[in-house]
Amino acid sequence: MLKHDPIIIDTHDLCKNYDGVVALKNLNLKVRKNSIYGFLGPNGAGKTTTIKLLLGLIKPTSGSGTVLNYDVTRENLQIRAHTGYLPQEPRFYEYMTAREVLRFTARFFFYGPKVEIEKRVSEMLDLVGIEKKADRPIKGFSGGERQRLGIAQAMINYPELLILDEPTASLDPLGRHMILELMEKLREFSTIFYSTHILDDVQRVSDTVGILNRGTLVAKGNIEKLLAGSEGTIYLITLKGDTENAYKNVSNQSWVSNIDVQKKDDKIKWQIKVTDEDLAEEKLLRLILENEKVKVTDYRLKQYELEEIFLQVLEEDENVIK
Amino acid sequence: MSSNEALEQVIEKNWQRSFLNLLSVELGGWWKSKTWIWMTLLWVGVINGISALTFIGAEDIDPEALLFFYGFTNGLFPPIAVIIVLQESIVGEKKSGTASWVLSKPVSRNVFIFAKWVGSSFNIFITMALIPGIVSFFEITLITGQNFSFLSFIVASFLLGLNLIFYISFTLMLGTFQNSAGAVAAIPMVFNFTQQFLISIPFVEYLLPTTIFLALEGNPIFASIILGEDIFSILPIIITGALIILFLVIAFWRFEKEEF
Repeated sequence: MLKHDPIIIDTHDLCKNYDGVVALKNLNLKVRKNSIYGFLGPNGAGKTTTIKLLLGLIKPTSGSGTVLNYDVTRENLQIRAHTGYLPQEPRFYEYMTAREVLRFTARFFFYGPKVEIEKRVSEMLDLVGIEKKADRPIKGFSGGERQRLGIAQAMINYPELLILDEPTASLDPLGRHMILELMEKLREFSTIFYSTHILDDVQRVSDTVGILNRGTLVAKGNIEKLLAGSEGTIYLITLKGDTENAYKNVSNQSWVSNIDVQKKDDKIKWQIKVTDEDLAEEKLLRLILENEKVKVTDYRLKQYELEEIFLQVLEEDENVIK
Repeated sequence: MSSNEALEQVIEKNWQRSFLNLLSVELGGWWKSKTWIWMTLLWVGVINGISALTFIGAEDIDPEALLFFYGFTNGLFPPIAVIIVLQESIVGEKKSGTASWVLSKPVSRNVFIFAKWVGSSFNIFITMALIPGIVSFFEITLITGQNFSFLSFIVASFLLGLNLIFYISFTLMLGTFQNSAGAVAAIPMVFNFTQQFLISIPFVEYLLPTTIFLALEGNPIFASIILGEDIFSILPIIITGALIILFLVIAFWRFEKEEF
């Protein structure tokens, strides 16, 4: 019976060396149930190594970890029985058709009945949009079609945990859109742990993010908090008209710590840093609009793009290493 | 999405989990394609064809001489085919990434190797030992005009199969150590030829699989069985069986250390 715990992936100082070269260093990872965890990092950061360690395809040099409460070294067969996995470059027996691959994969998890297995296979083919090519040998499949088949075989057992290594890497925009939608739907049933270098995808579907660099987890956390940045809450406001009195009103507030002003043509841009989010939310716009000579053309909270955060984190890490 | 409740879930936690699934791939790749037809035709042609061309029409054929010839072709040539067929069995899957894919499913590494061994042994035994063995029964009976026991030919075919399974195990084991098909093929190939010379070293003949087919003095084991004589020693059969088990154990041990 599966042991239940809200933490699905839990590693403690997990390390992996290859011939003395450190591929992964003291990885402490926690992935909560039903989350979509985006695992980011530049090429060679150790993302695939981590995934393989979690599945028991390679053994850790030191450290420990559990997946679905099963030990990654001693109970990895049980981990794989409850997990779906899409490798970075999915490879199948070339002489098989897509339907045969899914049938073969399904039999690792189910004895039968045959009619139900066939139903599941057809459902998966339909889900990833390759039903028309279902009975053709895989050797004629494009990279995108192989990727879709890879996703189908990873999901054939409705896994409690879905591990995807670069799931959208070789897909066209339509395929990418389909996979991201699918991931959002699956959140209800599964926990999804996926590696990617496509930051837009992460920003769109993930709720938690981990950034790996040179085998070290350099940042992790809730994506909203990460996108909010570390500078505190900042409002970006674009104004027109006479802003002098409005500026005085706002700058006199105790919860306003800084106002950065930029002028361009007839537009004035304020970047207001606040110390109390609740008060700012309640009063800031009202204070500005008290003055009838001011028009507000744009008003929003500053959000970082994931790419900014990603580059910033990597840059900081590189500086530490130097 | 439907649920898993309608499906009967695999619950085994140990080595037998997924064995039949992997075995079906090994058997399907052979019997669902035309491989088995070509292999059967080829080996019936090589084993039975050469004997037929050599002995049909000859007068006063000595059954022992015919069986010596039959044993020589069986002992030397089919192992070469086995090595060629199996050199990529493990290495090919390691290189192409299919081994990594299969092992990411709930299956142990021992089962992966064992299913390959069972599947290959069955496929090769039927097409390269049993069918040519049955054809040989009719062929040798016809050429010599003597009545041989059909059962003795079947037993002899199992001994031919044992020798081939020795090479299957040897090649699979080497595949777990190497990443090059050439290296995997070279060692058993050299061993296959070298045995013909090693047999002349006193006592060593008892330790070699080739003694099942070849003997410097008297009849080799398989010929004695067909002729209804006592075999000179059971030791080569036991040693061959023991080496097969040893190769399998080493393959299990080595493959467990492999990283994918």
